[in-house]
Amino acid sequence: MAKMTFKAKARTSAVRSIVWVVGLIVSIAYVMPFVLVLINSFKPKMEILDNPLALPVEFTWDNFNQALQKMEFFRSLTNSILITTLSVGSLILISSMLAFYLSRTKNKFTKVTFLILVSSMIVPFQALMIPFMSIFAPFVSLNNQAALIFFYMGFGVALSTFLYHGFISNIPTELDEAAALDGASDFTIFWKIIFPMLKPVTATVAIINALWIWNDYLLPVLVLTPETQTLPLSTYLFYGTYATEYGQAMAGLVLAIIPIVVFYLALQRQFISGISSGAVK
Amino acid sequence: MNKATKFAAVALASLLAISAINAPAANAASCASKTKVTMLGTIKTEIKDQFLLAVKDYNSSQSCYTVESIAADSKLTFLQNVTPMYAAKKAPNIMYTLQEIPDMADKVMDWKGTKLAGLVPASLLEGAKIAGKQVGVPSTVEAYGLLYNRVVLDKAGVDPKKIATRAQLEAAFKKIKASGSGAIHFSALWWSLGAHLHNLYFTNAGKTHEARLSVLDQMADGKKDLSKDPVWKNYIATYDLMKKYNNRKPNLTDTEYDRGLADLATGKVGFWFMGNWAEPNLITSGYGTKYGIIPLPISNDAKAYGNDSISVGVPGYFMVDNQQSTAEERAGAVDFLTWLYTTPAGQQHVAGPIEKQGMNFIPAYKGFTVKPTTYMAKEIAAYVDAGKTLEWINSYYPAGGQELYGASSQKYMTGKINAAQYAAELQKAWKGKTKTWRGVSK
Amino acid sequence: MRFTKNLKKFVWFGALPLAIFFVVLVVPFSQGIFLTFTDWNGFDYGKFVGFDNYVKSFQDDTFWSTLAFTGTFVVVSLVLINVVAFALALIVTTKLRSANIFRTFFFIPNLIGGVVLGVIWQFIFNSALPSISYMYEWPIFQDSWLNETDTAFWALIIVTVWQQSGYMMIIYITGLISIEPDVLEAARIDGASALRTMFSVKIPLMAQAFTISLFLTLRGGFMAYDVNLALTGGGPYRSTELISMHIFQDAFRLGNFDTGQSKAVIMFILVAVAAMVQVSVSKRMEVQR
Repeated sequence: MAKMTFKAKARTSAVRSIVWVVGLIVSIAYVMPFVLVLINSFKPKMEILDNPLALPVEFTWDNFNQALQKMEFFRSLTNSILITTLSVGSLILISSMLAFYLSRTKNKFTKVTFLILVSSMIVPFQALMIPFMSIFAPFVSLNNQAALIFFYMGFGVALSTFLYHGFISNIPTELDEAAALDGASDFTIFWKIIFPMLKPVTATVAIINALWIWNDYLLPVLVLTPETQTLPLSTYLFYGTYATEYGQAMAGLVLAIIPIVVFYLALQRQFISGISSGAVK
Repeated sequence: MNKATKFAAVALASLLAISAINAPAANAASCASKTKVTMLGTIKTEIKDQFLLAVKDYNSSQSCYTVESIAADSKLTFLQNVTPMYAAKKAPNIMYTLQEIPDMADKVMDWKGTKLAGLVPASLLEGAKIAGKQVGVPSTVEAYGLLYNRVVLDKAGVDPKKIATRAQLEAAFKKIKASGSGAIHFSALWWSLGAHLHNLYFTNAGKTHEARLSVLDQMADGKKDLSKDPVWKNYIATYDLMKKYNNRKPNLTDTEYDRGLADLATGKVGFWFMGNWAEPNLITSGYGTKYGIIPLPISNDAKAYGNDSISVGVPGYFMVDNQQSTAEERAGAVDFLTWLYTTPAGQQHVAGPIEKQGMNFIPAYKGFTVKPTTYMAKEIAAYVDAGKTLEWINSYYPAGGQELYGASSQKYMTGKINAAQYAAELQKAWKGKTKTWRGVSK
Repeated sequence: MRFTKNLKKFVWFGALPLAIFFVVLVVPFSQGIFLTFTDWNGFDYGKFVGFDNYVKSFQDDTFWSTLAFTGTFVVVSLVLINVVAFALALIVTTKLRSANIFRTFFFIPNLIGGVVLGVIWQFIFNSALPSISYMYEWPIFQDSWLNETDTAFWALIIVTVWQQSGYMMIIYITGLISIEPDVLEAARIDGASALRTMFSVKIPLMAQAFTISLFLTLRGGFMAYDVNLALTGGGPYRSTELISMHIFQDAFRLGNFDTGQSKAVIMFILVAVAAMVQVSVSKRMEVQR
């Protein structure tokens, strides 16, 4: 880098400034809708309808108090965390193992299995919704949260395995072979050598699945009861048959968004270190 | 309340209480264990809290049954909610719907001969009678027409009671505009256009129930030429008038309801084509309580059929599953609904004012001691008492029909198609439909 | 010996995940296909009807218009999401002071479910944008974009791109960062321009990221439902119904479970073919290391 001429340096910094300005504008555009929701969450319904862009005339927590109560916020939050963490944890476990098996054992069976897995990702949920419920009804009524976690494992295993498969295929087989020569079992090879190397993709898999499961709508609606409802389901309470409680709905959205943003920010750091330890410098 | 009426009310209430105790299903304190009775969702989201409060009250009022509302997703259709439950052999005991009644007819209990059904005027039972079977009982009576803001009309010097023809309506629109407000908010909502406004044609197309159903027959047989029908021409003329004086450009999404609500409440407009379900929304928005309703005149002859009457109907019926429930569960379902509509406590929940946790419903059952007290509700009750009501033919539309009629109507409203094309699209949408209104199943 | 070793490996690593997959997905899906050959009404079936349901599905005009609308949506959203996502990844991986904050912002729309986003944007298109438009007298947003089929299509695209580009960006960042710095250094020493480096070095070396991202957007485009439901609701006049929504409407509003289920199977076949083609083409373009 030190060899760069002054001219080149100046050009690079000019390019960077332009990129920075573009980045700033796009960032603002990306966050604006949420700012709008936040502003309106402090306004009564009529004020929102009158002018959605104005700041609140009078700053009030009324919408939030109502929303917290109606959503049963803390119970819904606990349910969401429970279902998401257990589902994601199980998915990481079974998908990384399956991907290891499918990418390291090359035969007809694994090839066909991988193809079936990939193609299963495009099965629309509505195509199997009703037979699905009739098959699993007894299981659901036994424990609907356990059932939901089990379903997420089934629906999520294909995509997660696909992601792991792509990553593991790029890990040189020499590593496994060397360990195998030292007498390590497949189990040891996977857990001691391969799995630790999967950190970056595990972070991706965790984020992707957590977001999907956290925000999922149709499956929890069908499976869960009001007592076990998740946070996103509770935010739909404000949309009536005809009228919408805009103020409370906005407050509900803010409340539902906060935990997932906190989660993302917390995991983001791990994500960066996972990637940078592998690649940058 | 003066002493005499108070006494009469108490006496009546205790009488009703006694008759409730004597009813076989409500034999209190004789149950060894509680039977759980499930209901899919509630009546509608707007009064969900009030309804659940009634459920809670019922549960603590007796020891035989526990009614539990199981979550229904309001973004999904009734069939989306109910079919997986039937497939899973977990059908809810009580279900509440309107359009899908024909789909459910063979799966639910016959209400004929029950105490509740006996309290409903025959015309209000009609909508849930499939091939002679009384499939459901009504929740309430609702009306739609032109809602008005009394303050705006007074300021403009308009007497809503004197609007009986289309010409008089236009004169009122002009006066309101001259006074500085907008004339009308005409919501481009598919359900308002497809179910309610569209009904104005059908309900005026025949003077008797049978005559109206035969118009539906003609539509299904493809034998009706709307453009040659004088009633249709009048319908279009009224439609055009509202289009012309609409205070805003039509918006085709759901936000249109709240827009109309806000515009009428704040006095930006004098009229809004909607129904009395909007009254609680209007009142709670905090701009006053004087909102009334008048019929939408469909012709220029004040004495013509329909012009002095308001569209009144049942927004939904309660059904009780007969396939996957036990006899106790069914008894519990009937007991709960009977309690809700016949006991003073139940009636207080049904017809009591919103601010006192009631549903502000206009009773569909005889013998109600609690009556709604709001301005619009009283106006509707007066129309009902005078027998000046029009039937909701939209209760008989085939499943999914109102979406199609609503879509065509939206196209007409935004000028995408002309009146002749509108008529042609409707005729096409109706042609070949199964005559569910005649009890024919798919 | 080799067979026993493979079997052991299968039992240890493959058996449990595949069993779950089979029970949750394969069994109900097969039953769903089976039902399309019966006169199913959503509750029960009486007799077999052969291919009648498929014939009926293809005779439905609205099904064809939905297929065309969905096809356009898939292509446009796929291109735009990936172009935007790759551009965002480039912005974020340029050594900028605020890169981390930018990345956080770009990703935020992805944290929230489609129905909620749809509701927010419906509010923006119906109320906020017209409000600004009137204030500054811009004609472009004065009428709600959700009122016309064409503008409603672009509204759907905007929200979809906004929602999904951050997610695909993460995949592209992973790809960009995984490129060894010495390779880029070598390209620089060879005097390759920035554009040349991007197309001849960066993109081929991160082809895997493109495979994944294109696949996910293709799949997302075909299966889009939440945003469609909450933003346009299929309107105006049922002209913006994507295939998922069309199937829901057919089955659950009109009560046509037989054709609804058949259309779902047709949809599955279409997506399967499109995805297979895309994945095999992309895989061929990947650099094997």
